[in-house]
Amino acid sequence: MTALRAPAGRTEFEALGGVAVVLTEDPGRLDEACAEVRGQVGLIEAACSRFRDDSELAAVNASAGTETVVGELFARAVDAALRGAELSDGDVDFTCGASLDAVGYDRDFEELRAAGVTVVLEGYVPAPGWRAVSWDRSRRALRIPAGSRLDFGATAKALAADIAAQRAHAAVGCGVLVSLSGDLAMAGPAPEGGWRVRVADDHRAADDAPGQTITLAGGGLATSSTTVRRWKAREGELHHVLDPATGCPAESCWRTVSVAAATCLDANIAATASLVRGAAAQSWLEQLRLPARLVRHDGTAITTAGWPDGHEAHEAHEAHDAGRAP
Amino acid sequence: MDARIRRSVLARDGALGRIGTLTRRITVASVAGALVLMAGFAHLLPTHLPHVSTSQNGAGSSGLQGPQSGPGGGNGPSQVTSGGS
Repeated sequence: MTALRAPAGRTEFEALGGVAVVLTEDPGRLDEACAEVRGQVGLIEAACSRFRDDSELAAVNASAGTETVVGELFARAVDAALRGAELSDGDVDFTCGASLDAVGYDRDFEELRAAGVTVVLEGYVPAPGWRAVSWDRSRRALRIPAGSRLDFGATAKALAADIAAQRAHAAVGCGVLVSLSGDLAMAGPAPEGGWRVRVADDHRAADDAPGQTITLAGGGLATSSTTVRRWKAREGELHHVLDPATGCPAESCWRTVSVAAATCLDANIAATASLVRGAAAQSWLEQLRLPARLVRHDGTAITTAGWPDGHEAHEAHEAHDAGRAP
Repeated sequence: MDARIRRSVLARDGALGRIGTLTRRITVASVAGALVLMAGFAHLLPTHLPHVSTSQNGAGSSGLQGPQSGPGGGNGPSQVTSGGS
């Protein structure tokens, strides 16, 4: 029997290169929660956008090789990025800004997509590596290697979702879910039966697109995919998830990875690192006890650490049990 | 000292001189080459020791944390979609 659920408040708006969604357990508090989220999104964009000339990140990149004292929100983004780099053994590396520029991702993706340009590659640029960054947290003093550029793409959005959900919940008192381009953070009590979330390749996908519907009671959920942010080069199609060691788009056996974790930040770190790690990600996620859904290029999926089985997952398990290659 | 011995001594001294000249030239070329290489790759040398502080709100050593309660199975229309962007 399906439990009756009170309708939650829901609104959405364009932000950070995707769709932002705000859900509130109490529909009457939606506007107030949305205002908090919009405010937080504006702050993170002003601090961490790689495509805004007036962002704090642009100033840091322009000052590569010299020390820059940054603001508190930017400092939290640095902390988050360092957490991602350290806990993924460098698979998620925020020093890959020049690597992304080299493969043509040097402007807002919507501009890249709208322009329909075919990128001419002049070579891949490996990331200098997060260990080359000097960070004095007490003074918020940051120095990145000369000639390098930072990109917080993998972690800043997730951090923003976590902060926005917490602040919105503190402001309105009821349960809140915030999604920023498909990276979800929840704070406060969930509705009875949990938040109903569709997991798919694209966060803009319709409800009937291939995927799986799950319920969540708290924490964070993030999905990384190589299927959405793609563009053309003479050498073939490229995507934005790079292997920091080489600067090349990661050649993963997965097209999409979704991970549930205590925070959206940790979920995003694990999902992005899993794309880079490829086949080794399954055992890594199991070891960390992180529930995840990993989708192969043929659409079959495997799950880890208690992620509920969906139709696709059953197929994948059967294929695995039959000894077919993953 | 007869003429034969004198010629031998002169030949020996001449050979030693040529070897000395060659050694000096090799030394000068090596030093010059090293200087050129140092100048060419100086930008790759660190100018300071990297210092990553993670003591406050940083990467920490806690590891990636799983959710307090894992996702459950769901059906019916969803409220939001998680996917790539």
